[in-house]
Parts: sequence; C-alpha cells; structure tokens
Amino acid sequence: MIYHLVTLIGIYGMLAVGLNLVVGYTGLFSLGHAAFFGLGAYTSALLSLAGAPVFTGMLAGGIIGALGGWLVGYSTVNLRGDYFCLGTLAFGEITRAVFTNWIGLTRGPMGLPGIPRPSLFGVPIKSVEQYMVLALIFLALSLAFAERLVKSPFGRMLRSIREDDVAAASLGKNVGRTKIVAVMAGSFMAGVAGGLYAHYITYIDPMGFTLNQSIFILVLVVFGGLGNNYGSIMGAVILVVVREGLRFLGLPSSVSAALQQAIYSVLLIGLMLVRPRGLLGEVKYMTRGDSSRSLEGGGE
Amino acid sequence: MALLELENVDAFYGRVQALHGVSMKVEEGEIVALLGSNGAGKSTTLKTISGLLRPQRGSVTLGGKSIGGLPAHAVARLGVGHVPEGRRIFKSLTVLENLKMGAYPCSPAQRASAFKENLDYVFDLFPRLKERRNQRGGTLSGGEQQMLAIGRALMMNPRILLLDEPSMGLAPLLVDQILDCIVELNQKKGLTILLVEQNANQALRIASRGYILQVGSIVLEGTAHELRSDENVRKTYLGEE
Repeated sequence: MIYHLVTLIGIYGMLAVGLNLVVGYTGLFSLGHAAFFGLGAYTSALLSLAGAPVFTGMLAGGIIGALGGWLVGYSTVNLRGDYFCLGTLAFGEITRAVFTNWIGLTRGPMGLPGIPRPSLFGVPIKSVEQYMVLALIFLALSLAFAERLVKSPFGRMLRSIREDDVAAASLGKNVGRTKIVAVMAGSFMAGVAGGLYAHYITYIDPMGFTLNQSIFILVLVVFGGLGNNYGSIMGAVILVVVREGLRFLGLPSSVSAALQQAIYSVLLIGLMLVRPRGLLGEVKYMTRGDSSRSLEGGGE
Repeated sequence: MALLELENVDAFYGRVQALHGVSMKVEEGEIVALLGSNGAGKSTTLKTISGLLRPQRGSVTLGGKSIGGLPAHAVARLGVGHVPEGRRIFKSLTVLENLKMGAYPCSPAQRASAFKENLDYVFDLFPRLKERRNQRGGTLSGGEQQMLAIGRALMMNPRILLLDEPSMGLAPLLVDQILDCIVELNQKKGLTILLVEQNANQALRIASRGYILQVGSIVLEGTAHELRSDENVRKTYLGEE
C-alpha cells in the first residue's frame, strides 16, 4: 500500500513541481495543468500500445506536453492575471473534450486498457516497489532540473516577471518568450508525469484529466507554498496521503469518501489561517489588492 | 545629430489620444527636463520612447536609428534605460538580484567584466545599496528604492537614462540627494538624461534645457534659464507671483 502511495506522490510531486514553475515562480495562474498531464498520458499510452518502447513513449509524452504548453503560452502571451487563468481553463476543457470525443484514437469514455508496463535493460518493471523507485527517480530528476532552473539567471527572470513584468521588459528582458519557456518547461514535466501515470495504472480515461484534477494540482502547489520546489513536493505528500490513504483504512466507502473531503477541507482552511503563504512559500497568494500595491513604490 | 529625437509623435491609450505631435530632441551629454502638470503626457512620452507604448504616428530615433514601435525589451537593449514612475523595483528579490536584473541585456561577450565594473560604479554612487545588498527590495525605504531603480537601469550601461519623477514621494533632503546623484552621473560619466518632473524648480536647476507639455503637446521649449525667466512658467509651474 505504502508503495502505491509513494508512487502516486512521485507522479503528483512532478506535476506540482512543474506547475510551481509557472504559478509559483512566474506568477501565471494556471487552471489547465491536467491537460498537459493528459496529453502526456495519452501520447505515451498510444505509442506504447502501437509497439514503441515505453520510455520513448514517456519522452514523446513530455514533448507533446511541451508542445501543448507552447500553444497555450503563445496564444495567451499577452493575457494577464485572470485572463491567462481563463485561457488555461479553456485549454484544459478543450483537451478533455478531445480525449472524450476522438473515439477513433482514444476510445473516448471507454478509456485505454492494457497499457504496458515498462522494462529497463530487458528487465520488466512489474512490482509496485520497482515502479515506486522509478517514480522517485523521475521526481528527483524533475526536482534537480527545477532547482537548477530557478537558481539560474533565468529563474531570476521568472521571479522578476512575477513581480512586475513591465519593469522586466524595460530592463531588456523578453517577457513574452520567457513566459512561454516557463510554461513549456512545466508542461514537459507534466507530460512525462502523464506517461509515468499511464504505464503505472495501465488504464487511462478522460476522467483522470478534468478541471478537478487541475485544481488538485494547483492546490498542491499553493498548499506547499508558491515559489518553493520542496514545498510543492511536501504538498503532494500530505494531500495525496489524505486523498488516497484513507482508502486503505478498510472503512466503508460511504464513510471514507466523506471523511476524506472533511479532512481535506479542514487542512486547507487551517493552512490558510495559520500560514497564508503555504507551508514553505516565498510569496503570498496574490490578491488583486496585493498585486496593485506591488506596482507602487513604498512611500517614505 | 541628436542622440534622441522625437518627431511629430502621436500616441494613444486605446482611443484616447495622449500625445499630439510631440517633437523634441536630446543631445549627447545633456540633461533635458520635461515638465508639465498632471496628465500632460510626460510619462506617456517616456513610455513611447522606451517602447512600452507604441507611437501611432511620427518617428522616434536613437542615434539616427528608428526605435519607434520596437518592443520594450529591444529598445532597452539598444541603450535606453527607463526608470519608471513609482520605481517598480522587484520587491521580493534582493537588492543584488534587482541589480543583476538590469545587467547584461546587451552583448554576452563583455558580460563578466562589465558587470563587475557597473556594480562597483553603482555601489560607489549609492553606498546604501552596498550595505543592503542582501536585503529584499521591498524592505528598503522610498529613497533607497529610488536609488535601486536608478542603479538597476545603470547596470545595463545605457546611452540615455529616462527618469520619471525620481523625487516623487521623497523627503526634501532625499530629493536633493537624488538630484545631486543625477548631476554627478551627467558630469562624471557623461550620461545623457531625460528627466520628467513635477518639481519644475528643482528640475530646471540641474537641466540645461527643458520642454513644457500641456495636454499632450509641447507648448514651450528653451534653455533652463529662458524657461525660468518666462512669465507664464514662473506663474504656472514655479509657483511664483
């Protein structure tokens, strides 16, 4: 059981770290992260069902995810705040509708069963323990990549865009291109995580990539604290355990579902009261008032 | 040839025309003051120069090269350092990170050495920033934030510095200090400066020439001396009887 939980934490941790680059560091509020997750999952599943090696499929999943990120970034580059958020929401709904209705390719609501498990150097990865190790390796790679990125001058550029994109542009920074690259990096990770998920569960359907899923990933990031990669992983650890862990207590499902919702809500409310910046957050969740204040210099 | 030249520039916010045929020039090594009351179009003129606003008609040239309509980041890379109104520093970044943000938009070739040189220069000009280099920008006082905003623009070694109301919201003592720094930049470094100010008295004290904007048009131009002795300017902008 614990192995299953840790595997899911690895997958959701990757999603959260990727989204944190966009929301936490660049300050672009995205409600469409599940779309990239789904693009990666379907790409990898379909390729491997057609006979491609699983890891090739995962890589392709990441690339298709990043292409989706480019599409979203390119088409929303001039949108700010709420409007960017709506753009990503729309993209998420469109991809879900495509997954559901392109029956010839995705089998629609019937889903894709029998997705193969990967094998490494000819050794098939069959057990959950082995898969857990794989997921953790992927999570560690994502974390290392994200940490390197945000500590580099490029990361400084992301944070400066979050603070004030007009000032960043007037210092010679290409704000639009930087935003697109950030969204692409986040969606690449989500795409790879999608592949990891598809080959783990071995079955996917459009219900795994809904707006609810996007919100859940966003909550992981906000809960852990915007702009902190370790926070994102911590958010994934706690909330995945709450969401999935109760299933194993042997309670009747009518009780455990309600209990899960209750614990989840109490955790969120408690966190917002005690630590509005999230567990390890660098910046406060921005409200309209905060962001307009940040445009004006402090008085003397 | 003037370093910066605007010719018959019209600019709009949406459908509202904010600049009507603005023409002005700034010669190499000058401090030029752009004066006017609230809403006259002073900040709009600077934004049009730095590419934050696209001129609808007319031309903007820097050293003979047209920059009108280029995106802001491209204009900055050509050497226009814009210190925007209200400072707009990055509050959650440290002072040093803020300065690094201003650094090297130009050629990566001369990066490291130019960076060190510029940083030393900025710290020399504003020792307070050196003391506070690891502090977050948002924790600085208003005067220090203004120094940081100017320092940040200096980090890219601009050919011309556009200063938008550097004295806004500062105590009189600090205003003097900032203006002294501007004079020093101009005299010691030979930096060309276009200064927008509400505080006309102070601006004309340090500028060699000036332009007066009224509802989006230039209504008067001349040397600082001429403007200061003009009857209308004295009444309207210098608050003298």
